[in-house]
Amino acid sequence: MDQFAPIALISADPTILVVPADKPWKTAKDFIEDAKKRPGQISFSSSGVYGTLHMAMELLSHAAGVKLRHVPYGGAGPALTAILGGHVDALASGPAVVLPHIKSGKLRPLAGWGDKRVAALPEVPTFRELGHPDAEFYIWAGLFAPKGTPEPVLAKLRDTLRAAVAEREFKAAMDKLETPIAFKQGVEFQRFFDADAKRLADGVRKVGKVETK
Amino acid sequence: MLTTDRVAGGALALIALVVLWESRKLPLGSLRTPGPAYTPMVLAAILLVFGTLLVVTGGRASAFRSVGWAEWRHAVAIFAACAFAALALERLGYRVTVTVALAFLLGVLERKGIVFTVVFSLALAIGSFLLFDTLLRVPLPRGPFGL
Amino acid sequence: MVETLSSLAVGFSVALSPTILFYAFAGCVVGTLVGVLPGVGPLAGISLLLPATFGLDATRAIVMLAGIYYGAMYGGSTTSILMRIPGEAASVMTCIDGYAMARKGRAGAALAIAAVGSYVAGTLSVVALMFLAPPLAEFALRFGPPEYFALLLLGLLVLAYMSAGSMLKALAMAALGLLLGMIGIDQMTGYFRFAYGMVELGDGIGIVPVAVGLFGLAEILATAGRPIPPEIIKPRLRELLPSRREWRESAWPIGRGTVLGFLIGIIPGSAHIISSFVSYAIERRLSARPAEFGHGAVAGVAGPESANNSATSGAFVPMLALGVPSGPIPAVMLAAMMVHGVSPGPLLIKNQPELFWGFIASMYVGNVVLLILNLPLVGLFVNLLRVPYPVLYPSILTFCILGVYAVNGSVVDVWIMLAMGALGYVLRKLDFETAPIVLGVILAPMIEMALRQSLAMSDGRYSIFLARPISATLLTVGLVLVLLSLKPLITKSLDWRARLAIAEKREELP
Repeated sequence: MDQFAPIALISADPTILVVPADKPWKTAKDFIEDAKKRPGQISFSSSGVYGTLHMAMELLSHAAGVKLRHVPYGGAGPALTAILGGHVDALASGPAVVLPHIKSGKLRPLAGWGDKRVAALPEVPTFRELGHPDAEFYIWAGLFAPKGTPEPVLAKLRDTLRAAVAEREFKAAMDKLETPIAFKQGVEFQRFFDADAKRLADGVRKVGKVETK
Repeated sequence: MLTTDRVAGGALALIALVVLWESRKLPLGSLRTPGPAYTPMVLAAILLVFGTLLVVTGGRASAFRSVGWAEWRHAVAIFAACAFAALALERLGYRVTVTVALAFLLGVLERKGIVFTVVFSLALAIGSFLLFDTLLRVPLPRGPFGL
Repeated sequence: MVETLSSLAVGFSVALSPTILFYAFAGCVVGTLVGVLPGVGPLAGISLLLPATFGLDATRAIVMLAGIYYGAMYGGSTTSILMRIPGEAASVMTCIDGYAMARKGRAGAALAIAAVGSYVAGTLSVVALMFLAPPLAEFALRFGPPEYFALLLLGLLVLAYMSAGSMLKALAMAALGLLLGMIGIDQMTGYFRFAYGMVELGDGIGIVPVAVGLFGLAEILATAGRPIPPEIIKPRLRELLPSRREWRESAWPIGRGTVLGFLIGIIPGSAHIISSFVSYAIERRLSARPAEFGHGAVAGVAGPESANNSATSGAFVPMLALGVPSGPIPAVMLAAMMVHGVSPGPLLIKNQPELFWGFIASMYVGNVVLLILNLPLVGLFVNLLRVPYPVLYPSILTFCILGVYAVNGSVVDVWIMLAMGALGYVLRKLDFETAPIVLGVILAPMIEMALRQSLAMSDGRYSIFLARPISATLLTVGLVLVLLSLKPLITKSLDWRARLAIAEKREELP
């Protein structure tokens, strides 16, 4: 990551914990308590080993002190298919992808990984509210330039990007995707990035295998 | 007798042994939770069995010596042209590389006339570049001087 | 039923409006182009044109993207038949008999049969999509890892059981292919396997470089050096169309391919790839003259081509009915729909009937457009074969390298193609079939993943495969096939395969 200079963050979506609607857990508390009683018995799907959806779940397991069974899939799509087909018990996913299935009553949201609730799901609490502040995770998108890009160029890129993000069409498209824009730049973005990197590195270390540089 | 099946079977068995040897570096896991080396080991074992069976039962296949290799010079030349293309593609750029490779195949190997060779090679290289890179926006490598 | 038909009428009124028709046509043209060119598959085509659709309204955009998708499926057979270069995994089987037909001067017939087969399969599977989407989608979701594993294993067994000549040789080739498919990052644990420090091998060796190398390049290496170059086939207009016998022989394969492709296509995942392989194997087994397969049997083109097209429509079932992407291409389409404010899923038909039925109707229209577009092109494409071989093969090589490079923009893929070309050349000399290798490379990661996922689901108990009804059924069928193939060992009588091998030997003698 030393090879990049941050330009700006465009969006940051917290992941949401969903379970099939026919499962007994009504709240995140039910889920965590049951997971404590039956360690390694409740399974979850993910987009792949060390993928975003896996890391979110690992952060939760460590924050709540439970052990879940991981079934990796090759991408977020298959992971969603797996929970809809009832082959696994839980999934951490970006809100946009699961919203239609929550609305149609197939999946039940239990809690979110954000520092505040997701706008589209105001009744779903966050893990922070439930007393697990370490379970914080975002699927985010930002732009970077190669390290060594001159500051005037970076400034210009930032301004252009800010203007682009403010465009009505862009906002409309992102609204349709249910992905709120979370524009951050400069120090703010750096701070967000550092916090995220630290959470992830901790998470990966806890999973047990750390890639050394 | 040395037959085609026996040669191929022997080679396959050899590949299987190499894979088995190379897999020792990876965790095997257990029957209940197979590790990364598990499937390669199982497959290599299966291939070893098949290869050995081919050696044993392959006596009735056609003799290895009866296989004609008459075109091997040609095949090697074509293969070399392709290898050159793979080496040069990202160094000299798509258009230069393909023009040179085509000119070699047409002019040297197939003994076409010089005018035809040059015109055809240039036309195909530039034409395909236009179609893919310019029109379909599939980025193709450019060499020095943006060629 | 009546309701469906009246909705469909609404759909047609949408699809036949001039603007929608224009976008459907544009999509089909781009799709055909993308399909004919090696290396640029439907996925690349859709991804490239996705931004261009942002300015359109939802119905137009989706109609156009769908046009690209099945346009590419139509176009994919062209290079397979003319040059033995499969544009993508779905047209690998077409290379075998399609190219053999072209060498016999029946390229026009092969292309026409492929187009008509695709048309029939495309149209019929849309009908199926219309009436069966909701119930079938629910069924498809029950395919979890254990069912998937059983299905893939069955696919491999079917192929080995039905391949011509020695089953042992076919199995050995499949095992080699499976081993090659092991290269890359282990998806369950993140370990690099057999990559030897090459980061590019992380995602495994791609299907396109393997198929283009084993088929296209190996063919050129073996043919170009012959002292007498293969004669130029001058197509006559009369010979462009399939003969009555060829029509008769393709009718049933097209029908069977359609049903098979649709059923395999609805299963989430990439199982649709095996639909063309399984279709080929079945046609060979059912054929009155199995010896013709590999030497230009028209059923070997008709079956797989229909199957892969019908699998394309099948893949839309889980996407439209449940909002579940069944493969990488439907996933991109799903994203495209969401960008346009459409959320596919159970509520789609209720909330946006105009879009859903317009989409269905435009699939009918698109298939007609594609047939009209492709049949005249047959005449044009066949003329490529007039080019003398010493000029043709360097051009084909250019497209092999270009196409393989274009998929990922990686030279490593070109090297993989070269290595596979050399392997294919040697194996050809030693009289081994290479199609099982391609199948192995495709299946290896999928089958391993499914096995290990199943074990992760069941906490290491293998009984999961027998406890679930679908996987138990599939495994039983597989077991029966194995037993059937062992029967001749016990009864010591020659089975059909041995008889076939003898018949082939006899044919070669005079």
